[in-house]
Amino acid sequence: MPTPTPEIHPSRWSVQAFHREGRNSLARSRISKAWKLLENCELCAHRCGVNRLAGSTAGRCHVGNVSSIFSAQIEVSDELEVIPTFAIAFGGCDMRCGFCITGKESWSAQSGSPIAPVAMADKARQAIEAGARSIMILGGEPTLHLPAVMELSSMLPENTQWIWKTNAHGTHLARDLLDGLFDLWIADFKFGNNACAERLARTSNYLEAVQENLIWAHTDTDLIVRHLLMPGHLECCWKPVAQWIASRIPGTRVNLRGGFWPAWQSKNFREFQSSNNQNQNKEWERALEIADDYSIPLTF
Amino acid sequence: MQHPEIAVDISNLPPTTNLRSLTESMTEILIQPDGSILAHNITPAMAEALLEICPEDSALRQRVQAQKLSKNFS
Repeated sequence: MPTPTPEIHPSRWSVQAFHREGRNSLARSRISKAWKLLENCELCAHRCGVNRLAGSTAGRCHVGNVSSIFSAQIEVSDELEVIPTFAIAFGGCDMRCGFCITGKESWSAQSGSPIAPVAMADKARQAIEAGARSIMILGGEPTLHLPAVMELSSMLPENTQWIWKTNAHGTHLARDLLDGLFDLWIADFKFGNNACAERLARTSNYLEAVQENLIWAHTDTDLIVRHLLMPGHLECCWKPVAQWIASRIPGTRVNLRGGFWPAWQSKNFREFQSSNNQNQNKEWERALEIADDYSIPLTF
Repeated sequence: MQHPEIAVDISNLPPTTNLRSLTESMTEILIQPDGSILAHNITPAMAEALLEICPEDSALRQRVQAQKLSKNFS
């Protein structure tokens, strides 16, 4: 998959001053509220309302009151401006994307091991000392794990960039807890219409939830939108996503991801069965044209 | 308010065979029939290894450069 080679901008590569004192205490002050919200969980836009605090796993995500981590390591596959990053991945997700590249872990709330916040914060500190320039919290979907995220965030080193990597399907209750904690949101905008979201990810009213989050993040924090270019979804998904970004959150950096990996249950979808590299290369070229048409600033 | 206990020391948990160990790093690689290689969750060491296989990949080269530019990376 040909990928345009961006220039390295010195401002993006300098060691930026992300030291923001007070984030640990801010997170600590929100721990109890985060747990309380699990009693009638509406952290994501499914708004299941189950009592996760009591251990119920009957919600769409099947996450109860235990948060598990399935991966925590230094990685260099995210945006150039944030790597190397120490990526901490929570198991469990509220969406059911059939093509999910970490489907096994993301669809299971029991993936990995229950988080030990003190030990994980110590690992993060070691990663920063080893040269990681940021800490990324992701999943699965980390929004489901806000009590654990608050506990962890109360101990993370403050002198580095904190990144919130999300499917952008949370509610205002989640945003209230996250407000002011993270330097950068990296948010997926996967589908350009609700029908594709329903069919591929079993998620209703997708656009409304995601657009609400993106507008908030665009206003409240630094934002990068990610869009995975899915075979056969150029016109129905990428084009309307680009159009919406250009009109509603102009100037937002977008990481357009090519190289579709036919993972997890991709074989269940006809457009992913018939995809080949030749078609994907053509779609990639067209996708770049669309980005150009809407003056989308691409980042890689 | 009492929280459910989540502060479990992972070092005391029994080893698992079907789940990723937090003590090991992991990159997943897909080699396609046409020889192209896809990778995700790329660790610094794997980025360097992949660059040896695909030295013409400029995007990958930038990722390797990024880790070298980072303050203490060795």
